[in-house]
Amino acid sequence: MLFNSFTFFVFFSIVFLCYWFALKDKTKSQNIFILASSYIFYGWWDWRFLGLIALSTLVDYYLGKLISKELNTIRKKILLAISIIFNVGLLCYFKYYNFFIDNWVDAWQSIGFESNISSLNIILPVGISFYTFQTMSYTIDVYRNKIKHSNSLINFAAFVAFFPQLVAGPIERASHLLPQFSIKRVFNYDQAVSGFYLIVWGLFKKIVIADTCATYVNTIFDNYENMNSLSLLLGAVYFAFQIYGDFSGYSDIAIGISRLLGFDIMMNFNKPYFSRNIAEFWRRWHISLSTWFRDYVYIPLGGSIGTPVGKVRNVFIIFLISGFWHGANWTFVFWGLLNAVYFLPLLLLNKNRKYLNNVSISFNLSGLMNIINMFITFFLVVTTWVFFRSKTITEAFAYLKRFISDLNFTNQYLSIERYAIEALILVSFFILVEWFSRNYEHPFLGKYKTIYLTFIIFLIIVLGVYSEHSDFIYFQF
Amino acid sequence: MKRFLRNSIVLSVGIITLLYGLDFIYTNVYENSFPRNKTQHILNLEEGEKLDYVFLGSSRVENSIVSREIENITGKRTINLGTQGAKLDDINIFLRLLIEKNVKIEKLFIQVDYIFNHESSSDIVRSQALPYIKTNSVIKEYLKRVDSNYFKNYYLPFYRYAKNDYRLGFREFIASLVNKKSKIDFNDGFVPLFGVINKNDFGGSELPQSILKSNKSLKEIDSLCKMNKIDVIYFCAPFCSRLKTNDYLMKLKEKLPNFKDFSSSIPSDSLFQNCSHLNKNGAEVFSKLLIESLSL
Repeated sequence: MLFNSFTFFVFFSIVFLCYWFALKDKTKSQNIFILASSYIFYGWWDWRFLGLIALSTLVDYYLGKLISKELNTIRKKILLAISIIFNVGLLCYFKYYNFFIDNWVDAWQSIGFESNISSLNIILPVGISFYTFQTMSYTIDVYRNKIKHSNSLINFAAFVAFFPQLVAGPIERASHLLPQFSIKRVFNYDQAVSGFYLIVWGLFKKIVIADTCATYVNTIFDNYENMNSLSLLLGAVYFAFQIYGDFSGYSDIAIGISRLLGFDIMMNFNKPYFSRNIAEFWRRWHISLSTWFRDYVYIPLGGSIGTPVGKVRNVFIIFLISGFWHGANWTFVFWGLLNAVYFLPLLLLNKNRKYLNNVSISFNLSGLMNIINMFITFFLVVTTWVFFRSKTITEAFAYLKRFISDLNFTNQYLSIERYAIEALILVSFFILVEWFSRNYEHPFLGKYKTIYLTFIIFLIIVLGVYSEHSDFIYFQF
Repeated sequence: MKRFLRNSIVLSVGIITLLYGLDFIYTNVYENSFPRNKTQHILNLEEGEKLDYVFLGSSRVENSIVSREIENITGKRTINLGTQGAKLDDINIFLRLLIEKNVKIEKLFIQVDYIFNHESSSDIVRSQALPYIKTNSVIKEYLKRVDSNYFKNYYLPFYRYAKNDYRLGFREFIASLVNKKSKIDFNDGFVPLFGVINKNDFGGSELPQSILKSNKSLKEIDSLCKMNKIDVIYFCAPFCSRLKTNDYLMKLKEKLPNFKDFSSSIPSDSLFQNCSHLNKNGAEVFSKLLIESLSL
């Protein structure tokens, strides 16, 4: 059940009305209802994996309880280790088993040995990378005494399976979301309206920006051998906006739906393409995952404190894991590696926390530098996306090599019967809207907000891509 | 909550009104604009127009029959109504539209090959027909039969344009609104292909091993032609030399007694753009060959 489908519209309308009318002021019943709705939502894809969520919920719920009550430090650590091994084990089996086996077989074959191990026909459960990280954060936080263990299995199960953010995040922290299941939710008009605005803006990002860019990206990347430099450049830029529109659009809709149900979940994107260096980009891109890795991997490893060698090691570990989290393919690992290479000089020169303020442009040298830095950062990010989008690392290098060597910058007519440059109008409009609303979560602001809203709804209807019902990219992770 | 629901209802009514408005505008623009595809061209033909030779089929007609060449040599008014991806069901609808327009056809040429095995219709022709779903009874009946989304397309405002955004969406709407001419001259209908067959295109080209017992659309086409006294000739356009035929065309000949097989009539592969499509030079050679072979 996709957010941008009629089925979800009907599903959510029923959930919303039952939740606020039939179950009004009945917090426990509302939580049971959210849990049931979430399982229906997830089961719509593949009901067989509901057992996996239920198992993950039960294991971490009871381990959380045991960790909390355990006074012996060693036993506490063992219980935490069981939780981590269980969750990482689930991920490894469903997501990485075939990858490891294939690479193992290839490695042996490369030195002349045959291996009898064969890969399995494993289906990747949707959202497994997201909910396992969410439940792991719960047991770790309980272990660290940051939160109390949950006393309600229903609340905890609803927290794990909360349908707005179950399949593609944001990866919520138990300390933030779990307590919201215990308090009475009262319908708040302003919260609901802001949620609605986010849903509309998220749909625009997904259906208009991401899906339009996708048609160009697919054509250009699939035929990169016949593309000239301009088309290859545009292909990479369009993919940058496809993945941003797709993923941040999903996150906006998830936050919006949560608000309509009286919940507040964390922001996942903060205009990342206006970043002035890679470190700032990573503070603005997929915030829930970046902060998860920061809090549960990077800081425990020593973070940016310690010897230069330790710092370098930590940065590489964090980016390589982050890359690997995205998928069982060397392209993602290389993508992480490239980000680490871009990030490292900033860390070593102590410039990684240089841009903590909101970006602004003034008519002076500093303003000009901001623009130049934004362009450079965007260009660096775009090069990493080429690896993210390509099927193999070799293909990504061939793509970049052709871009550098061809040097033909004429507007190319593509097999989709459109010129390569056409989508640039839409992307430029999107950049302008994002720029003028860069300090806010959506562009529906000021006294003309109703006009802006009407215009965006009009664009969703008229310019939206409905012919190909495309999944959200991050569902595959 | 009441305020939120009230605003939601107002918004929903606004969106539905907008959808009806857009549907009305798009339909009117497509119905009244300069033709940008072959379905529109047929619908814009004059009532009772005389066309001597009409060619129907898929891209293997569209890219192979040089109407102008035939017209120049024979002096007969010729039109190529071949459409990319068209199947026999689409040819059926084109013929019905021509009959509805009382177009006088002296000879009708229908290209049949592996499309005999397809009882489905083409997405391209189906989407080209959608703007006329409510105004043209032939198209309405055709879509009722072939379109699994018929009811949504017919009753939900703007659904047909949104769902077919690639062919009927905003971009095409604007092109139609400003009467932007298509690159194809529909009075001729021939679309040339350039370049020569690539070595890699040879591999794997083959015709099906089995053939359908009968094709419902072809039967309908046949009876339509008989009813309207149209002289119909079924033929197969050329394939490249490396095509594995699997005796398919022999089987087809058994089903269509007046079938003319030109599949191996062009021996030089340099006249092909790919194994199933002639290039511009190949099309000119084939058109002349047709004139001679069929005594046009």
